[in-house]
Amino acid sequence: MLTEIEELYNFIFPLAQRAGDILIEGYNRTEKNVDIKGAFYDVVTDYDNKIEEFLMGEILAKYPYHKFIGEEDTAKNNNVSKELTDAPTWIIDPIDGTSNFIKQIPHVCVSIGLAINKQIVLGIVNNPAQGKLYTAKLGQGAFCNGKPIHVSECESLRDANVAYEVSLLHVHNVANKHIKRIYHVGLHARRLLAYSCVVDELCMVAAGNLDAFYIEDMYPWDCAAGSLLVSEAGGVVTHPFGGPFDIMKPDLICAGTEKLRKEIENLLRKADQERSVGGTDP
Amino acid sequence: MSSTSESKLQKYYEVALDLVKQCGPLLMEGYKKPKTDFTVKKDFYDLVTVYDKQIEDFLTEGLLKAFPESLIIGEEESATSKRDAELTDAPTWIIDPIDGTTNFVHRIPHCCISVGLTINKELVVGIIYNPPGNELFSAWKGHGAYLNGQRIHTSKVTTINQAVVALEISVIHAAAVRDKNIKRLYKLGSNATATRSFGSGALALCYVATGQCDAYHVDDLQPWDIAAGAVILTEAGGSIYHTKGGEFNVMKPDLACAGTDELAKSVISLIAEADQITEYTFK
Repeated sequence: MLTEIEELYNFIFPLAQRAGDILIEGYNRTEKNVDIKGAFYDVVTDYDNKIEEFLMGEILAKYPYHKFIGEEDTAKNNNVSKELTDAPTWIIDPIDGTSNFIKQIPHVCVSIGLAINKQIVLGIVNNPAQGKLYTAKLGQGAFCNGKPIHVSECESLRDANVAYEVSLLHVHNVANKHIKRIYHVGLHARRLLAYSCVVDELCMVAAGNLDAFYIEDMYPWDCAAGSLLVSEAGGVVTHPFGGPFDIMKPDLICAGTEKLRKEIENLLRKADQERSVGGTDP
Repeated sequence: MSSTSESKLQKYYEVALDLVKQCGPLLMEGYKKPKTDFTVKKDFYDLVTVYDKQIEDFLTEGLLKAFPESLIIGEEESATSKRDAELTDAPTWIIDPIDGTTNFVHRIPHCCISVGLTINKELVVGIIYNPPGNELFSAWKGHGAYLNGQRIHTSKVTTINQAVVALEISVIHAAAVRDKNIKRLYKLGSNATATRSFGSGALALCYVATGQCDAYHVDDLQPWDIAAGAVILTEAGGSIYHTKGGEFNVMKPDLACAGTDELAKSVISLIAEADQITEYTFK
């Protein structure tokens, strides 16, 4: 299996680099200040498709029996599925951080994960706007631009830099859940930050830039590669309420230490016990 | 303003810009360290490093040497003297040697050196340098705002539901202002299309200046966090007000700002609505 992973890594690495080149071409466009919800969204979709087609095309040309996790209604071929099997399965997000892509905020990533026997064995994230390429192979540590990276040793929220996807307040049916959780975590945390690129925030935990990160309601491709990077960098990744992390329903808390992770879990639980915000329509 | 000539103002700008650039390597030295030592100041969320002091000393020395008539209001000096700074008509440099110290210590590329200048209590020069992010923002009154030598301009977004709003969500950790901030976060976050919290107030103002964000609100920061960014934002076409809608005051810099005047006023109005909320139970 080791040589298989090595071979697949050597195969995908230059493709991940090339995917980043495509992404940065779209990101560095000269047209400034485009409408976040306007016609420019089509351009994002174009680049998203370009990167996805490039990667899928190259992979299937060499490994025609490999699978992909994706949304069936956009599936272009029989290799794409919503179900994870034991077969080698690529879990790819061609562009994570689409709002950042549109606004040219440098937190935009290509994320490539590979699962074999339902376990993530390989993760590569390319963040070309910051010139960072993160890589991990199961059991072999995590790296950024070829240098080893490690999670932080922070054990207490009082000393911690934590990211929270505050933009979720915009989603009406989860706004109350999140404002209560932000309140309880934010009460104690040295810093709460929000860069709105889940893939990048996972990498930032792996590299020790963030001490912890919590997210839920994401797709498998948002978290597959990043979760491996965190664990290979020495961190912990679990379901928000402490159970095992599930690639296919990737709700998670990740942190450099179990102590910090548990502190956050306890606060999320506490927050959920609060009565909801009464009466006021946002 | 009439008592300072254009050429003198340009000199203030150019000398300050050069001195700030010179601080780049020192900041990068601290930034690249795997473990940068820091001390916690009075509040558990407020950090300082040796680099803060060194950079402030370097800038203070250089600016006073070039302009002995000027005064300095600096973050670290103010912390030591424990005095509240007072703004006079004299040319006054308002300096934050490292804004976003927590990001600096954690190697997140949103931290910066911030230098603003007032003359006759009016903001006239702003320079903000983020070496790890390769961002050098600069502006002097009447001459536009620049990022790495390229002219920048705010976005044209006028409505909150199209807007990316920058906020300091961390401020919830300060008990005295917690309720105010959670209500405002709820109101703004649920109406905006997206929210960001970068960890540097100075850079948040710059990101509105470039159009990367469309609006920014924060209360309870210090003059040195905001002085330079306010100049860069207004020179880029943005609008900045006191949080309650009146005139912005750099010495008590509670603010609501945006790329357009219309959006700034929407933000102010939503904040006023948030402040009226009494029916919530997450205390």
